[in-house]
Parts: sequence; C-alpha cells; structure tokens
Amino acid sequence: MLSFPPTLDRLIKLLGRLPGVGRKSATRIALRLIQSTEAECRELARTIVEAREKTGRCSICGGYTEDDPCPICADERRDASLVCVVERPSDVLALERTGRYGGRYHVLDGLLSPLDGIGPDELRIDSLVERAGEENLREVILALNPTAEGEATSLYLAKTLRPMGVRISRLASGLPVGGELDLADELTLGTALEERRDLSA
Amino acid sequence: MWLRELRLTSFRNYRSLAIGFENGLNFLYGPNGSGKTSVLEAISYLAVARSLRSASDAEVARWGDAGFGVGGDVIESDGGARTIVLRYRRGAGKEVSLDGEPLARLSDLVGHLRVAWFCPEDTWITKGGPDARRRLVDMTLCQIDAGYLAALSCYRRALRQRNEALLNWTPDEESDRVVEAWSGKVADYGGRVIAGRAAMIPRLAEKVSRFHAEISGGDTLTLAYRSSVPLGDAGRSPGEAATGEEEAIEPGEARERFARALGDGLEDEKRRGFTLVGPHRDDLEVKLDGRLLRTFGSQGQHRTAAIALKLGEAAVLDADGRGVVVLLDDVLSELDNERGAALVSHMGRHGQAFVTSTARAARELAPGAGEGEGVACYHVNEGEVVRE
Ligand SMILES: [Zn+2]
Repeated sequence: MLSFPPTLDRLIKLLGRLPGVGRKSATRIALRLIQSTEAECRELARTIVEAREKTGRCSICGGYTEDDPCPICADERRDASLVCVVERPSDVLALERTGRYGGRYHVLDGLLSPLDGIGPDELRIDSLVERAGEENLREVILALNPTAEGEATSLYLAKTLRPMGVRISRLASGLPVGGELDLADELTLGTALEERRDLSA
Repeated sequence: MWLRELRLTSFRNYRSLAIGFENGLNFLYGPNGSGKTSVLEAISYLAVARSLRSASDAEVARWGDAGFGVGGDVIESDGGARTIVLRYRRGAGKEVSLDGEPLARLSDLVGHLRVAWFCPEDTWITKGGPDARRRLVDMTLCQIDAGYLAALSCYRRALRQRNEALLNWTPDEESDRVVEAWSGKVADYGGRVIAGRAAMIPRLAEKVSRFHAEISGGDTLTLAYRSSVPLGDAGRSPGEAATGEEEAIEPGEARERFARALGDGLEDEKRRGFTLVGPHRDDLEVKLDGRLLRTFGSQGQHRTAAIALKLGEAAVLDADGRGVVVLLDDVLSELDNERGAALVSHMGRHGQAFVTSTARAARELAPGAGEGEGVACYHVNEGEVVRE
C-alpha cells in the first residue's frame, strides 16, 4: 500500500486532531503547506505559539483578550449598564458578529449540570452577582443555549439576580431547540437579541 | 409508504447486503441467530435513527468494523421516492441524510418512514410493569409528532439532572435554587409530554377497543391514561366513557399541574434523592370488561389484548393514510394459528409488512398466500438473504 513519507504523515495526523478536520482535509492542508515557502511555514508556526501565549482572559468579563481589561470592557462608548451573559468566550465573538449589541459581556465558563458535577460554584456566577451590585446594571440579558442545561441555568440566574432589582431578559426563542449559539447565523441571533423577553416578573 | 430497497454495510452479521422488497407481505425465515431480526432492526434505524431492540449503536456495528451504514429507498403513498442513509462511526456518532442532504438533527428524520414493531416480549405488554406500555405510547407519539420527540428527550435529560441535584442537595439556599431551576425545566418539558399522551391515548383506546372486540368476539377492552401527576378533570374517573375531548389538556395547564405536584412532594424528594412524580411514572391502564387485565388475565387474554394494542398502534401511526411498515418479529410462534392469521391479515391492511419466523410454514398465514403479487419469501442464513 502506498503511504506518505513519515514526517508528512505525522503532520497529517496532527492536523487531523483539530476540530472539524477529517483525514481528507488534513491531507489537503498538509500537501498545501509543504508546497508553500519556508517563510510562510515559519510565520504560521510562530503565530500558533504566540496566539497561545498571548491570549488570556479578561478579569472582568472572562472573554478572550491580549490586554486586561479587554477592549470591550475598556470601551467607554459601550453601554456599561447592560451585560449579556454567555456560556463560553467564543459566544462573545458570535454576538459581536451580529453588530447589533452595544453592551458588555459576562462569560459563565459552562452551564449548570449536576450530572457533570457542575454547580454554581464551578461557574463565574459570584462575579456576575458582584458586577450586578457594583456596576449599577440596568439589564442582564441571558444568552445561553436553548438546551435543558442552558435553560435551567437561565432560571437559576434569574432567581439569583431578581432580588437585586436588575431587569433580567433572555434571548427570544427562534434559535433551534438544542442548537448552539455560535453556530446560529447572524440574522437569527441578532433578531433573538432584539426581541428578547423580560424574565424579571 | 413502503420500503423498496434496503442496503446494509457492516451491520450486525451483514458485511454488505442490498435487497429489494415487495409492497405487501415479506416473509423472512431462517434459523435463530441467522440475522432475521437484524433486518427489522435496520429498518427501525431508517425510521427512528435507533435500534428498536434498544441496542446501542456500537453493539450494532459488525464486530471489528469502524461503524455501520443503513440505506433505504422509501416510496411515498403519492409515488415519490426518497432515499434515507444513516451512517454511524465509532467515536463520531450518527449522521442521517435524506436524498443526499445531511439532516441537522436526527429528529428531522421522523415521519419519513414509520414502523410498528411487534416482538415476542410484547405479547406480555398488558401483564408486566408500566415501562413496556409507556414505550408503546412513546414510540407511537415520537413517530407522528417531532415536537413530542424533542420534548421527551429533553425531559429525560432534565429529569436525570434534577435527580442528581436532589441527590447532592444540602440544606442551603443555593442548593434549593439549583433544584428549583431543574424543577422548572422538568415541568416545562414534562407538561408537553403529558399533554401529548393525554391527547393521543383516547385515539389509541378507540381503535384498540374496536380491534379487540373483532378478534375476541365481543369482550370489551378499555384503555385509560393514568398519569402520576394529578390531572384533575383531565383524568377520567373509573367507569366513565372515553370521549377524547374530556381527557385533553393544554401543555401549559399540564405544566402547572406537574409543577404543583413537584412542589408538593419536594421535601420527600430531598430526603429520598430522586423525582417521585412525572411522566416517567405514568401508566397506560388496560381493563377487560371493567377489570384490571394485569391482575387477572389468562395467557390467551393477554395475547389477544397485546395484538389489539399493536393493531391500534399501527392504526394510529397510519391515521393520515400515509401508511406504516409493520415489523412482526418472531411473534407467530407465540400465537395460535387463529390469532396469528388475524394479526397478519389486519396488519397487512396498512401496506407493507415484514414477518420473521424460524419456519417457512408461517407464510401460509397470509391471505391467499401463493407466490403471487405482493408476497415474497426470503431465506436468511449466515449473513445472507436469498429471495425465493
Ligand atoms: Zn472584558
């Protein structure tokens, strides 16, 4: 059986471990890489290492950033009384892509899931409660995935934040049940954001 | 609808198989363990994306192979053809495509091919515990209502989460709020499940009673939805006639009643560490001439009731006239000739049926069972299926 030279074969295997990259795509990418210039390959390799080193988490919102606080939390023009709660840092990017949100964010780092041993203490909930008290928030928008875990977490947060007198809303349904926020298209997500429902009552 | 061709790769003991079927009665015979049931199981994958033998996907893949594939051509009642392909790879899960287009969710497959499955264990459905009867209700609803399927799978997930939260419960406000959040979701999904069952069961009951009277020659079989959630007026009191309208309950109303029942039992649940009330504890009550069949029925009475239930299930699945594919897995050996013939002839009215048996003689139960149109006989042995 015809096989690739050992080093090329190793590259294909490494690329194939990346999310969404199957054996075929990995082979295509690898063949393309070995045909590019040495400078191009060095830059790619260096950037991967640099991105890993320099990308950290914002101490306020928990989003990915190189500076602390992140450009979103530091931006004076954004509405500081509005906070959108999301599950993961990548959800911030999905909501930013809609171009229809001018507030700030708060990343929970997961969802309540007793089966996985994830309770309120494992999530960034205390820091959200602190922010609600200290930052004089007007509204908290819960933008969690419409799964059982996402919805139960929303109920928990609504119950926890309610006594603080802050308005609580959640994204309008329209996102597919069991769907993922970062896979929703910008229009759907933008509409869900604008037609959010009040949960304060 | 009917299945014109089935294609298997690495499925159970079939390395590769492509076989055409008749839009009528298809008899598969062969020794035990030869792969007859696997053919029916493959058909169930095309209908509901899982095994009706409740086997895991990994078990179904041929030993040593990386996954399996099931493909089929389904002919709709209007003559249109659709191709369903399901692929499973170990570690990567399942994907389904319809006419070459990948489906975003497995539940999107529902409704293109409907099946009613009848296996030897089902002949005891009215005798044993409520699980088997709930499974009949759920399999019927899931195939005619994709919303029910989504609600049921979310309900099961939320219920497991709530039980875990109850198990970890400690007397503090945070713990209370976690349980409360899961109660809210359990009630949301559960309300939809209860409403779906309350709406479907009277329709099933009406058809089952009719079939039962026909087969038994007059005994009255009645079905009633017995929810563990007090549904008040929605639940029928004993002896009262089922009219359908009476038992209907809105999902919102069912949610409220379920939430109230969860609240009432909460202290007890915290002590015991699991959820005591809900659709997972519902039952389908079966009475013969006003008496609970489960407690007194003879073997013959249970078998007749089981046949009536399965015929009713097929009739509900076929209520819109699009047809249902009937899978009778080795049940004829459990029934006497009279009951077996009644079953095959009634089931045959819905269109296509698959009947497995260890004996070729079972074919004689088909009305006018010659080698004529709409009847085909297949010999199954050692991962091969040969049409006679
Ligand atoms: Zn930030």
